[in-house]
Amino acid sequence: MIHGLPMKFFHSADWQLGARFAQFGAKAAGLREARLRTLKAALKSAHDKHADAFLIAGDLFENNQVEDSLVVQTLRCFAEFPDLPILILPGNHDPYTGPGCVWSRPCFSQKSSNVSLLLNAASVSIADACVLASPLTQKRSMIDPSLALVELSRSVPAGKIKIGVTHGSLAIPSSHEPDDFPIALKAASRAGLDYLAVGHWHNWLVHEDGRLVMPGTPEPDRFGCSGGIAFVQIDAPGAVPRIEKICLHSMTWEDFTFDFLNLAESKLKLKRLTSEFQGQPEKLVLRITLTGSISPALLHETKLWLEREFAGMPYVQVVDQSIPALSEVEIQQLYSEHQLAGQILNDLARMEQLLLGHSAPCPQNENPISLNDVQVLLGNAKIDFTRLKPSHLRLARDILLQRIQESKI
Amino acid sequence: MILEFIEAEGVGPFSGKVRVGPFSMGINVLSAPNESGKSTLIKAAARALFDRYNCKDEQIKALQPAGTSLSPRVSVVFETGKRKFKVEKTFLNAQGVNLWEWKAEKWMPIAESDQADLRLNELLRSKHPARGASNAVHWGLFGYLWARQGDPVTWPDWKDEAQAGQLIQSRLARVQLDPLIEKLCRNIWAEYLQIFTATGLPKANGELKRAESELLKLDQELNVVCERMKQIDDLQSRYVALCAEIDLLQSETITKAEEAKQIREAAQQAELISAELRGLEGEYQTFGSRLNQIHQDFQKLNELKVSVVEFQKCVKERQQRMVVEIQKEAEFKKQIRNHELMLSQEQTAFENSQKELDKIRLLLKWRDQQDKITELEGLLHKAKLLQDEISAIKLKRDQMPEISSKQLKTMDELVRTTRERSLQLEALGLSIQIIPKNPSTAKVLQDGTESMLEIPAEGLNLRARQSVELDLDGWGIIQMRSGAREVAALQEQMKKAEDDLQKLLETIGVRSSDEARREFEKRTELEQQLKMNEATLQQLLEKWESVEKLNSEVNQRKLQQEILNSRIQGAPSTLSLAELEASEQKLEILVQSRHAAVKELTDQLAAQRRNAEIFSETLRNLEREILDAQAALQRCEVQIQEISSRYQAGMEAARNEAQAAFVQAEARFQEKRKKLPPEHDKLPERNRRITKAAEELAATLEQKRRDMNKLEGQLAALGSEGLYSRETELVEKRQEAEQAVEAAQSRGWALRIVHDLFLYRKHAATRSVLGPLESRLSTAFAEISGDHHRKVFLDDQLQIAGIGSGSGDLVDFQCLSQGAKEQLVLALRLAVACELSTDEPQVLVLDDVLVNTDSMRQQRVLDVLQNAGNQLQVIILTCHGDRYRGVGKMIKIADQ
Repeated sequence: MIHGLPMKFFHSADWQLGARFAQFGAKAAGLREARLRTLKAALKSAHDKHADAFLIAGDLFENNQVEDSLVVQTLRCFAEFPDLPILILPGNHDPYTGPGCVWSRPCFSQKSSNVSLLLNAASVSIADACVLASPLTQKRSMIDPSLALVELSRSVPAGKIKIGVTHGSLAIPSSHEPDDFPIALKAASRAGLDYLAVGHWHNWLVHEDGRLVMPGTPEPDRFGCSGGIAFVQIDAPGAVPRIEKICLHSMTWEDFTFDFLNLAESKLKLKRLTSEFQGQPEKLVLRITLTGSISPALLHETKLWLEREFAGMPYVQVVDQSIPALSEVEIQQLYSEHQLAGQILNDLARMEQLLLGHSAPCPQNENPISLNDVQVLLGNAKIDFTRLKPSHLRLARDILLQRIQESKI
Repeated sequence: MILEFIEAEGVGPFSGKVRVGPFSMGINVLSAPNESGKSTLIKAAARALFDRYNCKDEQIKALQPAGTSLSPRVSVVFETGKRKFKVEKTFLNAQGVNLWEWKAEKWMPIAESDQADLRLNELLRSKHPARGASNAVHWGLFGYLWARQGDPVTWPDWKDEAQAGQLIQSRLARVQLDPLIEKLCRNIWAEYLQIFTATGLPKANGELKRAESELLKLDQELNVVCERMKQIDDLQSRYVALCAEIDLLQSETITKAEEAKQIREAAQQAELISAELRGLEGEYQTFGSRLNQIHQDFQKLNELKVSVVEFQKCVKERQQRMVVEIQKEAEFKKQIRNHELMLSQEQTAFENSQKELDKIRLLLKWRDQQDKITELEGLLHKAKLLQDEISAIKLKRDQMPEISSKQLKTMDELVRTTRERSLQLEALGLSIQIIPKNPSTAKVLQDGTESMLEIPAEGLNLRARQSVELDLDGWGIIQMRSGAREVAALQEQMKKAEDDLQKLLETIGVRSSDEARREFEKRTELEQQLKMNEATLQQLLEKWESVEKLNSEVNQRKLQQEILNSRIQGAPSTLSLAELEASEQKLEILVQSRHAAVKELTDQLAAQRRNAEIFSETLRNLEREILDAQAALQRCEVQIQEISSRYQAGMEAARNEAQAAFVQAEARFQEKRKKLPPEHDKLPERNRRITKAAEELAATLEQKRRDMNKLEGQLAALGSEGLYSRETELVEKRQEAEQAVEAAQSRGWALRIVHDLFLYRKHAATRSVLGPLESRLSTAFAEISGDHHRKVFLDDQLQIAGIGSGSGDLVDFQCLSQGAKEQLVLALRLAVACELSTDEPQVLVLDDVLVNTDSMRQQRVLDVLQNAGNQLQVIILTCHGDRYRGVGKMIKIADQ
């Protein structure tokens, strides 16, 4: 920062490097790699914008026990931008607990000189500004970590821009847990800070007229994340910070509802969405939720279409919440042709009712299967009734209908 | 299907062409002798309908007439689906087949060769075997409707090749078979068995088992990682706690060091002051001792002066008391002398009175003794008289014969026996009635005794023992004698009794029994008198045992009296007894009073003497006390002299001087003492204690630091293992494995549920009609057996389970008699045929099936068949034509 020019810095948090994506199984490694890519992009952006500092307000790592190779990779990223001062604060995922924590690893002893670890409540001078840090040393606490900043702020000489950095949840009534490091909503003004950089929640959040910012995670880790990186410029002590949200995420997380009510339109919208990722299908994390009622045949057909359509996309998941339904004609036809199959469908429906605790059978079901018979039947098959779910019975119904359909073909 | 004609040529016993038929609806009886070819013709028809025309199996060859190579040719006309067909099939050498249909009143060829066979399969719902000749399982419905001769009496398995059994089964159970669903169910089951075993366990090497194994492996790995992560957490917690502990220990160490320093300094200061205090204390104690000595002397002097006054006063007072006591003693001694005199006088009076009383008492005793002697002498006289009388009685008694009561009793017994025997002899003896013309007398000699007998006019009855002799006037002597044996015995007994009596009398010494009794009575009387006198004498003698002792007593008393006489010295007093007793009484009182007076005086005198002794002692004491007091007085005066000589300048001055020195020394001591630190005596111990505590603290702190270093090392090692990343990897893999398990299990369960529901519904349908079917069978069997109490029970597979009045007392089918079995199977076959005939008429062939059925039941079977004949074609093959005479239509095998 050249004297007279505004103080510029990147405020990021919750990188959660080494995060877990169990739902994606073996493909999760790719999502982890994406986070590192995004970090590198953010550092480059900060460098390009001649930022005075790159603040990481906690949770750089998902856990204190992440593998060494990841730490080394991260430090290498930082070393690529030696002119950019990088200040790292331990968060609740990677608290500074002394020996054994990620910050005590030997590899940190060889970190590049531009990297500063804010392991204790202390102030660090960056150009004309003073960065006051209140790091976390445990995973949960009911104490507001920003309180330490009040004391630190008093020792900062006048005429310096005071930038606080800590990690915790904002004490918004009913939005935070009491032992999740509740930070007062007026924490910035209470400590007389020009800007308070906070990390913890993964969505973008601005408070106190831009003096308290929680930028969220720069790389989404779930559907509906609105996080990013805050590019902050403060002209002088006491001046209102100018904040710009920068989105550099590598992956796009989309949650798409495929409604069978309007099949054609659903297909069209889905195609339109995926067309944006032509050429880079690995950048899309897509969850397609099938809803609405549909005949077994059409459902089968749709699933085949989806398989074809997303064959090259590694992060596409299909959640079937559709209700397989036969049309009146189909039902009548099924009963007339295969009375036994019709009875079995009724039995499956009745079993589902029993499973859901409905005692009264459907009036259409003339001879419903009894609970006792169900228990005997399941007992013979060594199926634990308590572990049986409606989805099993729906699968049974699908199998039956599908097989009837196939046998006709 | 029903049959119309069967034609055969070159089949079995028929080298030429034969024909049976036409068969009608209802009962057809094909009656012919054994080995006439009835069954062969039906078999041939079955071969024509169900075997390939080009089959060369041994079964086909068996159709050929024995020893020929003729080609069996069979033609069958049958109806099915309301259409009439004719098949003509030639096997072996000239093989070929033609199928015609009766249309427009003529046979129209519809197929030949293989086509004809296939068409037949379709029409009859049969199936050709893969190779060889067909059997009942390929014949479709006909397989169940033809009861073959010699086959086991059981119902065939429903699972036949042509699936006709299942069709029948479903028809019986009113379950509509759905081939598509059946196939689907089988496929589903096969698919299920890829995942699970039939018992519902994951199949080894199956999709589910593999996924589960993978999941288990991952879980194990994950557990290891979690354990290590937990270890880190634990170490971390311990580390945090240890840090806090070390901080605490450090601050405690500082505090302790400060405290130790303070205590050490205070202890040193206290030590110096204590040394000074010890010197001051010596001085202070010396002055104190001096002052104390003066105080004691002063006090002693005062005490001695008081004692001198006291002793002087005491001597004076004792001397005064001594004078008084001496006077009292003199007076007291005088009183004692008076009392001694009085006692002497009273003593003399008492002795005189006592002597007088003794004399009176002696006199009284003499008088009493004299009276007693007189009395005893009277008594002695009476006793002697009585004793003389007793002696006289005894003498008299001794002179009398001695008869005991036993002897007397024996004697009486003998007399009685003699008398009884005599009377008996008389009773047994002679009885003579004498009736004289006039009263007369007669001399009677009886038993050696002669007597006169007065005989009155009215007559007399005379009785004699053994003989009697009558001397009658005018008649002379009449002797009568009895010769009875009893009489002789009685006489003998009587004689013995008389002899015994005589001996006894001689022994006693009397002549007769009466005399003996009299003597006995007299003696008894004397005995009583003697006893009485002896008792009287005893009464007189009282305490004396004999008269002699009484006499001795009297003599002794007389001697005593003599002695008393000598004691009273002279003649006895003339005073009366009353006067003597009064004097005695009076003197007794006087003696007692005088004795009491003497005693009283004696006691008083003893008391006065004791008191005199006390007086003497008191005087002696007073004397001694005076001497002691005088000696003590002298000693006190010596001591006073001695103390006063010590203080030349006076005691008061000496005391003031010592008091001032002591006060100054005390002030110096107290001043110094105030400078000692508080609880200075405990300071050395505290100093030692705090030094030790500080050392221990330092050691603990050192140990904790070592522990912390160790923990830091462990944490650093564990922390850099990247356990979270490893866990993440495993969790993600586990998720996939779990999804695979879930998917396989869900699929398996879904398949199993569908399959089991299919079976459930099918079974439920079967069970729902089992009851009506059992009723139908039970009715048929009841009609055949005539027993309406038993029911037929079927199992789930529609096989005959058995019969009984209830399911509890079921007799298993296999345990039934052959007759019952064949009747039950016939009833089921009939039910099957009736069921199938609702679609189209069916033929039921019964080839000699009732061989074990008695004639009564056979008639009932015919009744049942007759009833079913409206909807069935029944062909009965039998060699007992007579049994079916009049039943249905008789069919013959006709040569063509």
